[in-house]
Amino acid sequence: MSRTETLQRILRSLQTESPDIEASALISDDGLMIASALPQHVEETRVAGMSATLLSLGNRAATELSLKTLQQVLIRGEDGYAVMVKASEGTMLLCLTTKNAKLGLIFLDVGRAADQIADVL
Amino acid sequence: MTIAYSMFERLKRLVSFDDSDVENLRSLAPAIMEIGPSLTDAFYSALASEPATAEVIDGRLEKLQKTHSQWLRELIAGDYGERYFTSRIRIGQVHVVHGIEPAFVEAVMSIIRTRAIKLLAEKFDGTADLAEKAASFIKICDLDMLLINMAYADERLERLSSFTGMKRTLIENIIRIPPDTEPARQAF
Repeated sequence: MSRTETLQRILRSLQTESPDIEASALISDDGLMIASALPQHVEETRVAGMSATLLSLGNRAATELSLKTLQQVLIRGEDGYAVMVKASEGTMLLCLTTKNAKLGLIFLDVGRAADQIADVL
Repeated sequence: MTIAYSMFERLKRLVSFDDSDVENLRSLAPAIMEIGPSLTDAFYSALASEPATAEVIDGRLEKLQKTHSQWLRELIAGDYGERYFTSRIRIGQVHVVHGIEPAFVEAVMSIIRTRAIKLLAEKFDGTADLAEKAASFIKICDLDMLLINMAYADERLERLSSFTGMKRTLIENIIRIPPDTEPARQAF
């Protein structure tokens, strides 16, 4: 199995095991898509660019505000959450959830998936 | 700085700036130095007439005039290598520090070009190779402007990158994304 296939499998497993996670993507800190489990009609380029920008700003803000290392960036919208965490060096994992998602469980699953991705990369 | 000296070499080739231009500019040196104070005066008079640039030069005119004279000397010194490149890049970076927009720099560079050509025409009245010398002078002014503008744009991106933590490649990648009014989240 290629690395790309392995990464795709990790993302698909994450969504299968956590039904509240509706979509996920692995993105480079250059804003490029590495692997994704997103609906077909989503503009991956834009999602990748926005996510990498947000995580970069989060990192910078955490430093500026003396919060030490950034753990995650969380966006809460009316229809759900976007969770962004660092995966391996230079990559980030984005997950989109339902509005009723149990965040504690989501953070746990996302963290595990990020560890698996780091092992692959 | 992300602009490599090789870019300057490419730009010189692109505008056909060659040894004959270097020779022309060297030969212009005495004349340019003679008309230099007049060019410098015209340059700062124009800057003083525009509110956006007037405040930048306010109280610093004497120092800036010396810097301008130095710039003019380098322009016709005949050495257009790495040191020259670095000094022009530095000018672009300083313009960001002082908040001087490129359009104003372009405008006052136009004054230098046109006024110098006019004064040189008076000085070399009837000289056959004036057109060649003038072309070389315009080329080096244009090359300066290219470097200053590139350095200005580069310095702004560098500051944005430093402040936001966004890698330069990320900024370049998102600039390439076409604008879209549809929020990405609507797709879900």
